[in-house]
Amino acid sequence: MTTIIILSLAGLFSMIVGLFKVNEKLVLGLLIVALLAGAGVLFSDWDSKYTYFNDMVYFDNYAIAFSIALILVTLIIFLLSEIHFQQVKEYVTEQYALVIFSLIGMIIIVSFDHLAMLFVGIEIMSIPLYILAGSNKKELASNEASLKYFLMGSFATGLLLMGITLIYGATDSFHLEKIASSIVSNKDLVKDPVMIGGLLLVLIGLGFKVSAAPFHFWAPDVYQGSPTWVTSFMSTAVKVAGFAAFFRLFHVCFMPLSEVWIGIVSVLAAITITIGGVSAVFQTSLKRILAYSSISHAGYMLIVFIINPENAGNVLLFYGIAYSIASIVAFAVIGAVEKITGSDSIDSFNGLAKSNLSLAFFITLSMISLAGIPLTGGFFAKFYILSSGIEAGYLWLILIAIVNAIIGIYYYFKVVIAVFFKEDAKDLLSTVTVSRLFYSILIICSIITLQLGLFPDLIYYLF
Amino acid sequence: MFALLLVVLPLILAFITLIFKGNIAKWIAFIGSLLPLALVLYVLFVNKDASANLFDFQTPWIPSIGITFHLGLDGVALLLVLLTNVLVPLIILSSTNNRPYSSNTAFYSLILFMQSALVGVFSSLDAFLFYIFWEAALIPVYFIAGIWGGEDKVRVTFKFFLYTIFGSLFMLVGIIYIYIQTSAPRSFDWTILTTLQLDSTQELWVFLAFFSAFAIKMPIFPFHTWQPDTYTVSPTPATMLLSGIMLKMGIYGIIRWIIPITPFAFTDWGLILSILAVIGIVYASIIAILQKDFKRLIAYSSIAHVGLIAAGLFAGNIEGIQGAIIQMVNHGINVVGIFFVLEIIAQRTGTRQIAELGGIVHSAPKLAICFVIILLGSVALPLTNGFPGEFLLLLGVYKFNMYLGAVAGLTIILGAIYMLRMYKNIMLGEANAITTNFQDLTNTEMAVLIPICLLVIGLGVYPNLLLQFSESAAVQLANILAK
Repeated sequence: MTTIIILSLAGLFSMIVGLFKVNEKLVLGLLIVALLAGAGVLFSDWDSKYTYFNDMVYFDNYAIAFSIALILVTLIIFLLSEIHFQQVKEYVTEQYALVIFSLIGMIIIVSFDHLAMLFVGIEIMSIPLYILAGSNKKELASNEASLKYFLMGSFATGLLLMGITLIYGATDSFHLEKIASSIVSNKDLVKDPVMIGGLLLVLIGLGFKVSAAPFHFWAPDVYQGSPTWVTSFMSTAVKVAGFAAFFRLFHVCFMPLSEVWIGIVSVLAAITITIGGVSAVFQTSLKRILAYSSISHAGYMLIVFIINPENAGNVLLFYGIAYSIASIVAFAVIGAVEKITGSDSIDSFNGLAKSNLSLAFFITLSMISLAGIPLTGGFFAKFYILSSGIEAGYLWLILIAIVNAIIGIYYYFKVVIAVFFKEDAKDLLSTVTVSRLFYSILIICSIITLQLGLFPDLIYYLF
Repeated sequence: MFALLLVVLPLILAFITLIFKGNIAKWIAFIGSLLPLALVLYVLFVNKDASANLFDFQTPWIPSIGITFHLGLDGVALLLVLLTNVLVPLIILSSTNNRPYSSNTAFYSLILFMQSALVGVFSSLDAFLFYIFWEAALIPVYFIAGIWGGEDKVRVTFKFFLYTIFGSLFMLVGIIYIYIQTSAPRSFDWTILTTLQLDSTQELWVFLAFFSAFAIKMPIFPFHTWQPDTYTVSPTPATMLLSGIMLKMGIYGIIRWIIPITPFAFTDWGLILSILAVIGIVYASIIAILQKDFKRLIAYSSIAHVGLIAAGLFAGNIEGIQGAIIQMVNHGINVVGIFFVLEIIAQRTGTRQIAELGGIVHSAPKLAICFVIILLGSVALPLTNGFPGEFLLLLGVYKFNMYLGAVAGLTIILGAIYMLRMYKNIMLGEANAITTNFQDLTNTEMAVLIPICLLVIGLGVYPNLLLQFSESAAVQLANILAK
């Protein structure tokens, strides 16, 4: 709660000072302090389980852990923003403010205890993103991304709202616990078309938000068209928050109805993994590859929904962090290269290792992590999913996941091959330069990736 | 503790090497790589009772899911760790000889990383740890082959990489599956997994999952298609690592994991698999005879040799297993020696085509002598190291199935044909324009080849040096299978 207030004030401040001539670095510094303060307050609330607004939000450890993770991910993205703002000089603090507002939405949707809060949170999260996606005003692709994202996003929230209404009609409540208890007490609800219809509409609405197939069509164009900095925010923090909300709703509320949706979700997971993976193979733009890979990762995260509920939240958090850190690093390096070469195609990465070994190392490590190869966080993320999937008896789903993991290695390693094994024909990349801060953040991210791969227990079994 | 040191020492050296540049890096790597060798030799003197796991090292790693950092060395593991630690210094030394690598630092550091992972594979007694090392061994060699490889390297090395990862992911599923079968608190530990009672369907699937990884790595016919291209395209040090040590990971995996965990599936499939292995022997030998490129020829001969080792192992009797264990070591030594000799020839003449060479013996007698010794070891002449191993293997296969034994025996004839013909065409005859001014071995090259020749003869005359380590393990494994 305090965190939400701190962040709101920081966001408003950043928005207002945009009217005056101020040093943007100073504002960024203040925002970072605010983010750290917000995370610190949340951390001190660990185990305290506060509820606010007539029980409409509930900060249990799940909510706190995800909120802190999201704040830290946003913090890293802020610290890596310099390349974006070297190119975009207008409305800098306003863009900062939009990211902060979106973050507030995320914190609300990971801690909601009331379906209205879920809706409000998703809107708070999404509307700044529609603007940010179009923040490269003069570029057609960015405008297209913004419009597409806005249309699809509002459509999805519409469905979500419809679903929430139907659920209210069937259960007489918006509160998660009350909905859960009325499902338990009223056995007929399993067959109630209003209830099932509501459930499915919510599923579709949230499926849009996390870009699960077959509701994923907006994602590649939006990810590619948006500025790289915004893409890295959308494909990491936003996605993880969406999943956290999705999972909270389905595990607190709809577990008694699991026979209705588990089959659907497992099929969705299989389709999402496969479509994301297979489509990525044919892409030449690295941002597009990562967009499809994020769809594929969404599929893996959907597997979490059907596994043992006891540690499923931990698996989701672990997966989210491992995936986010690796993606952020990848997008940061893309940003640095894109600035010089003007393109994000894989060929523009040829020979990066010769001209800038450290950037090559960072992007390689993140690709290895995304591909799920041992000694990186991505491996344990996949490992937890595989082992709980096998334990839950979904062997067919796991086999699909395995085959797609191999396809994944194929497209992730196209990047590694370009970086290490190919020659830079035009010798453009030797001019790639980034600041010390940028390097140190990438080093920290790489250390986190390796640490998650070597000692996963530090995050797993958190709550 | 020894086991841990053997894994960690190369890793530390790999990081130390990263600090240095140019020639210093390679000498640091070479001198450093002698340390683990010294250590393992010391261990051998201490370890009089080869059957006991004297060098057990165990510490919890990821306790929440029962993963321990469990290393141990029994007879088989010790032999392979010894092989790794003997070959890596030789490989490093052999690559120091006027072969420029654009970055020595990265090159030698990757070799040392690889060494650490290989020793880890051979000494881990925790299935999860084994998997981690298994994958970790792949990454360095992929980079070595991909960065310093020859023509068409990207496609060839990528095929190799994807192919082997494909197999190992199924192994991962198998590992998780047996892990879930253990009673709480669950564990990946070898000692617990080997006591599991799986029913026959479970055993079959677990067997297939593990086998897909091992069969591709060895590689056994028909999973071998990545191998000839990869061996040919890779820079010779990588080829040596792949053929000398890495393919033993597959055979070792069968010995360490498949036989104790799924003995019944292994015996059920023994006949089919040994038929495949024997087909591989004949098939690869015939293709080897037809090769014009000598590096490719040895690549195919390697498939044939591994086919025989696999056939002996699948036979499942003491002779076969014993033969397989010691032949792993012998094949490693011979194949590294041959690849080195061929690399010398290729470097000096600029060609790998057998037809363009000839008469090298006149200008390079020392090379000719070393080459012939290693070659005879490879065709298993009595009193060379190849002989006891191949003899035991053939005996094992023959006892298992007479007809298979007869066909497998062709390996000796076919092997002699392609090896000796290659020798004749490269070394003997009239010297031509390319080979007249062939420079004989330098001191560094001698320093690599003389130890190899000594090993070829020494292990041939006194095979008991190896057999004493493998015997108890072979007896144990044969007992498991005889049940």
